[in-house]
Amino acid sequence: MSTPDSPKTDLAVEIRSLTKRYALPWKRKVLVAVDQLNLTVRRGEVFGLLGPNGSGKSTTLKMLLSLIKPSEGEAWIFGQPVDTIEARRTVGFLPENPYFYKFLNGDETLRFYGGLAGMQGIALDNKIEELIKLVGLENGRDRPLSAYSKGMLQRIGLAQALIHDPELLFLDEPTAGVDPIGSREIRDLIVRLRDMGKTVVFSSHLLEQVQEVADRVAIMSLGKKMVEGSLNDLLTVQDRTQFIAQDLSPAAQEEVRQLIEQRGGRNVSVSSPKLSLEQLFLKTVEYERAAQKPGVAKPTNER
Amino acid sequence: MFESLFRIRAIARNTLTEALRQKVLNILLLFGVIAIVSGFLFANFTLAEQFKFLKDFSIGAMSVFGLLIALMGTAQLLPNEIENRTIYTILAKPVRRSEFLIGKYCGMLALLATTMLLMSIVFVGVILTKERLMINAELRDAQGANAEMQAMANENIKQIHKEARDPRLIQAIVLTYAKLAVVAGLALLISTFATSAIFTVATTFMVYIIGHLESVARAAWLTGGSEVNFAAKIFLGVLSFLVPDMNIYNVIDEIIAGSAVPWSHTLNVLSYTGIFLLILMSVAILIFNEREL
Ligand SMILES: Nc1ncnc2c1ncn2[C@@H]1O[C@H](COP(=O)(O)OP(=O)(O)OP(=O)(O)O)[C@@H](O)[C@H]1O
Ligand SMILES: [Mg+2]
Repeated sequence: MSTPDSPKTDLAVEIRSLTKRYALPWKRKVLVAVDQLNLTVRRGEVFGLLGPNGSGKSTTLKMLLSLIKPSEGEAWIFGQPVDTIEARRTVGFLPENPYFYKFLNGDETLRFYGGLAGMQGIALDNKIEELIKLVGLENGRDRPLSAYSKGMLQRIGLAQALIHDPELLFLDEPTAGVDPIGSREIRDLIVRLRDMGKTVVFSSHLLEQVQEVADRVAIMSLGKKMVEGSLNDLLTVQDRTQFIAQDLSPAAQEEVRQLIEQRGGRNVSVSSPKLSLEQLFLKTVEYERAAQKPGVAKPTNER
Repeated sequence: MFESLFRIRAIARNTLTEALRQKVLNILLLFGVIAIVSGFLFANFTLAEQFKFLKDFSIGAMSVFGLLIALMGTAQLLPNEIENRTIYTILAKPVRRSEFLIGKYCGMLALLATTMLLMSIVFVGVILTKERLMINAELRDAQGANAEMQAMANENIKQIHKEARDPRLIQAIVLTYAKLAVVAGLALLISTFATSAIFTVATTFMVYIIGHLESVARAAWLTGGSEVNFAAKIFLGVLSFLVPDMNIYNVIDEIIAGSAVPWSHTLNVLSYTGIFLLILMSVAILIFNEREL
């Protein structure tokens, strides 16, 4: 039996009161990049981390990989504290705007990162072969990364994140700089990874895409989590009902409008109207638009 | 443990590959020119002088080029990884920060070993060519000459042999390598808290100079009779812990000048180097573990 304080191993990610403050040396203030964040990601789900620029998404992911140290709070990956190397064995990471060693070619890059994850020999050769195909980089295998386009870098970054077959993937803006076709391929890849039983946490600004693939999302703003939940729950407007009817003549429509309390027409479906994720997003981070008005100061996370 | 070595090796190899693909070894061309010029330009000096020039210039050039690589190359290792954010991609894998740092250092040591080895090969090539040419000249001169001249030629040939195949040069080269390892270690340690590569280069250079002055100061202050200053003693104690005594590598000059330095002394210097490197790397790891990336 686990006490309320011990991390749950059935959760892919568990974050408790995670906070990151940066000192702003010239202003004698601190910037709270991530503010008392609590979050859980379940095994096998695709989790979308959303928020405007500077809301703390990348900072959160970096803390989960122990690349930067939290000022406060704790986090676990499959029950392991994030600052252990055991936690990182089960994680693959694609940083935002990834940048690898320019002097290596595609194959060498994957070989290097595979080696770091303890792979070698035939197993590594086969994995490289498989991943090059998976991300569609056949043309980049023996080209140095200095000659890669942005989309190709993103692909080699994905392959590198997958090299040691991690259970959990952190993808920081995986489709940034990728053309629409490539971006759709990456979206499909995320779905395929979920079908393989992997957990994917990704950040993105392309809300339509997030809406298509994510099971659950969290929206952050100025370092704070504003909402978290399944897309279905979040996007359903609970206090409204909508009717969709088939074969209803204009006259009948008029009648229905009058008789709506009693009933009318042939109801094919009754549901609540759905917001688009974009509408939800804009509603959640309203300040961006408020700040456009003159005389309204833009809120900050500086203290 | 074994896995850890495996990762360190991968990082070291990557560091070496980067340097080699950036054509660091082009420095060999310059070295070759210096060795050849110093080997053949001073033909009208005495036999011993000619070899002394060649050894002086060549080992000197090895040392200078090695220092350049150790200083500039090492100072850039961490800033490059951090600026390009490639370090994130490495540390996101199951790699400890200490392994990363040791891997980077081992890569630099491998690069220095490669350059020193190749420069040594060029150097030995030049010195053996010079030996061959000079012996041929002696033989030509002795041909059909009187017995006295022939005896003199034989003497000369013996001397040429001795100068050219001087095993003490190996000592000089090994000690030079040890010195470079210390400089690279210092630069790496300083770069763990430095804010820029220029700061690292400048500070390392300063420490290098202080390292040369340290024993002078010690001699002046501590043998200064009864009124030895207690504060000075403490200061020197701390200094000798933080700054390696670079004067121990001055035996390199003595070796080239022709004095015999026993291998036991060389081994002593190497052990001191080893201990100092352990201290440097431990401190570097402690600092790097706490660093915000
Ligand atoms: N090293 C740092 N020093 C000071 N402030 C930092 C540092 N890194 C990040 N920040 C600040 O922390 C806040 C959160 O940044 P973060 O990169 O996490 O945002 P993000 O949500 O990933 O944004 P984006 O969508 O633009 O990628 C920003 O205000 C940023 O300026
Ligand atoms: Mg970001």
